Amino acid sequence: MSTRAAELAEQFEDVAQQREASTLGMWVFLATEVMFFGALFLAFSVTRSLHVESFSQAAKHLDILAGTINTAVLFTSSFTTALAVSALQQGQLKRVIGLLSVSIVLGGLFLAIKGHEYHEKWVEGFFPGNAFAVSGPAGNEVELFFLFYFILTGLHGIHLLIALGVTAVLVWLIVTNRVTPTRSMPLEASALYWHFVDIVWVFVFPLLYLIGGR
Amino acid sequence: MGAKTERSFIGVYLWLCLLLAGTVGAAFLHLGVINIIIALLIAGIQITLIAFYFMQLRRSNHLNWIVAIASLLWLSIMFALVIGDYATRSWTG
Amino acid sequence: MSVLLYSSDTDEPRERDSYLTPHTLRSWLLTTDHKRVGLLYLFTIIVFFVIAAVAAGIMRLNLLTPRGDLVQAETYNRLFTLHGVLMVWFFLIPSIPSVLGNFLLPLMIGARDLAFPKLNLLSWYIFILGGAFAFYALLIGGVDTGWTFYTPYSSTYSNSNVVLMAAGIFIAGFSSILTGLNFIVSIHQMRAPGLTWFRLRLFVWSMYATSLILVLATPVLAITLCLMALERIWRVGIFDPSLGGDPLLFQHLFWFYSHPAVYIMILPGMGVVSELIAAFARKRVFGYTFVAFSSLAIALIGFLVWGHHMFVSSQSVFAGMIFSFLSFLVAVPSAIKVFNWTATLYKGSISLDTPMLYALGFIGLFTVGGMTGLILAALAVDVHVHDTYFVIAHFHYIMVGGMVTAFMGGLHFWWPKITGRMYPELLGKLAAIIIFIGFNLTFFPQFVLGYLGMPRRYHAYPEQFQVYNVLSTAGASILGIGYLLPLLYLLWSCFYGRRVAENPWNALGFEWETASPPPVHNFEKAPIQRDEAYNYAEVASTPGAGLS
Repeated sequence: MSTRAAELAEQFEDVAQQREASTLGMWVFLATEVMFFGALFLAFSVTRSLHVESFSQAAKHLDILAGTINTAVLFTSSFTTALAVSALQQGQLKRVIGLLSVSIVLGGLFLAIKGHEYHEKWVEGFFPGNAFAVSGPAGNEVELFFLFYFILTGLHGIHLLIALGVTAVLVWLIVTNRVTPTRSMPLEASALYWHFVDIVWVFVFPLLYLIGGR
Repeated sequence: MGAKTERSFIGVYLWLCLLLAGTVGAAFLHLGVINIIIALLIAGIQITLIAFYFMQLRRSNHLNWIVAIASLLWLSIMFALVIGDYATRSWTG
Repeated sequence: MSVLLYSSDTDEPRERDSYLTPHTLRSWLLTTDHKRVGLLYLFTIIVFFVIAAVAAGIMRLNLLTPRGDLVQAETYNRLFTLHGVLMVWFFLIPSIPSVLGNFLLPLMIGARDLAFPKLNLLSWYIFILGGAFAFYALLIGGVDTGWTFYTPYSSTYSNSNVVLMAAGIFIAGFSSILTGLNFIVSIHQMRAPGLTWFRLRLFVWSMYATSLILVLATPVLAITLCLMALERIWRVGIFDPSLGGDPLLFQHLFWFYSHPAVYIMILPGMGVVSELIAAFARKRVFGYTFVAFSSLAIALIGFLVWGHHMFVSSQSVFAGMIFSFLSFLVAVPSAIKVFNWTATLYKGSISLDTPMLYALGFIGLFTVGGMTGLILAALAVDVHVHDTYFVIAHFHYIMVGGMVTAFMGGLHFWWPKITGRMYPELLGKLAAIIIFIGFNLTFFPQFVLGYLGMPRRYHAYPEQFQVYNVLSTAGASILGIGYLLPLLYLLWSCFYGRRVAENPWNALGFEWETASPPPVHNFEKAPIQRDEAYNYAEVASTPGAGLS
């Protein structure tokens, strides 16, 4: 066991203060993300209210099976990430690494499925821009729906990618004993971020895929 | 932390999947505006479960609760006043 | 008269090791010391201030003649956009928080540094990156949409470098968010023993309130600029009515951030003024609790009023009425502060040093700005003066007469702490007076112009407005000299100013209990708060107490 145990950063008085500051800092950051995605949800809601029919029709082009599977995948990854934090606090390092690796694989699976959906939409001509499949005023509204589809899922995907990267770095930090049961804050903070990415999807999925009926 | 917490994680995970089935199933019923309410309600329950259990908010310092609640509150303010404008555009006088 | 105190062991303060000691570029660019980060921000925002001020100078010169023949209309549009964008996002918003806040916050709460020092340095680099984008956008021709980027002009019809500029602002926004986050966590978690919330300095309260806004409002700006840029790139119509969108959606999202943003651009100034009034009246701020809560109230209510920028945009009348009422409400906590500062002055032991001159100027000018805000908040009046020079005068009274004045006052007050040297007091007073005169001459005629109907953002105007424009331009030249003087003598003082000891102003507060300039970790011994803030009365009645 390495001697790199509880490292106290010099601006803090004790480890407890450091831990509380780290957790509070991450929650404050998540609050900013709530406002970020929230404003996007607002723009979507307002625009949808102006074109309810077109948006409902457009939504039917989305692959509900892919969306449902992806939601389940993210839930599972949150489950494994939560278990990983618990495992670290119990000192079960091998288990932590295993669980985090599963989270990373699941996150990658989500992105792969999403990528497949994007490809399909591209081929069908539903990517916003000059080559959009539907033209005319009705087409504009459908294009607006897909604009929001790509922005909402795209920004979410970018955040997931970042979470994947951070988790991969964490696996390395645990393997090299820089993150340990007594210095678990980096994992706890990034786990919060992972769960938040899941939370965003919990709203993105029904708003895009489900509302408007099938 | 320990076995007890991890058991609660399993429970939360199962509930999340169950609620997912529920919200997808409800989408195939044509209930008009109720569809939106059901979807948002289920989403609300799901994020509460994730926040309280997976994110350990339940055991956390109450300051973190305030931060989480405040962010939702501010979001509501933004929604309320903007939608308030759109909803009252047709009111005259 | 201020009394200079000297260290007990020497007759004269002399140079000793401090946070300024390592002189290498590397030590500055890789610093995590909050004091150095504050100075890095200071150097950066001065550059942006000068560029934006020059743009304003050219605008005012153009407005000397009714035909506006100094620059073309197109160029004029790019000038006022440059002025607004740089002044708002690259000067005012970071000014007090990222310079004085960064430098003073840990000192005032008795900490060694902020909660996340590396994040602090990162925030400066992010600011530089955003600034680089903005600067590049300017170099290749600028933007002509105004700092408000209204759609569909910005997203569809403008032929200027909108996306590039939006990217710069988007990036700089993250710098704001990180600063706010750092401050919130630090104030919650790192206060010295005995320092309860209601013993905090009022500057700290104002930094907290400002940080709440930074953290909750800025992300909305980020997504708004994102959507506008995507609309421009992909030619979709979220905000374009001809493509199924609503331009008012942009305005709602934009002003949801930008109105609270103006409170980011005044709350820190109010915090500084509270400190200056207390120190130079040698008196505890009257109604401390009211002032503290007012900061929070301004931050909160400030989020509820943004629709007052949209009274004539075809927002619903009902919404307009609600926003108007809430806008009246937000004036109340500001007024409470003004009353409390005034009450503090009453029977205080007042000394009219330079920082106090700026503080007194703030109270007067901010009051004018605030009251004209009430005038604008009245729906029917706003229909008449919206988009006129009345609005311009109003917000310059607050942002320049208020915030910049407070910034100058704070800069002079804490200069000896930051640099270990005193600025020349006579020049300080002279500059303050020149600024006051120049400012009023520049902006008061603009109230008249607006009321008489001169629109804003026009490079030319009807003949009958010329005399007021000439007065305004004359004022601007005087104002320019007023700002140039401190730039010169403050720089001079860094090398030739008189060295000072810990507490040249004989003021109360943790930052005055350590060396000038402070050591790297701020305090030799961790300070403990034993009594209320601004305990001047106690100190005065106990000879020798509270003095270093």
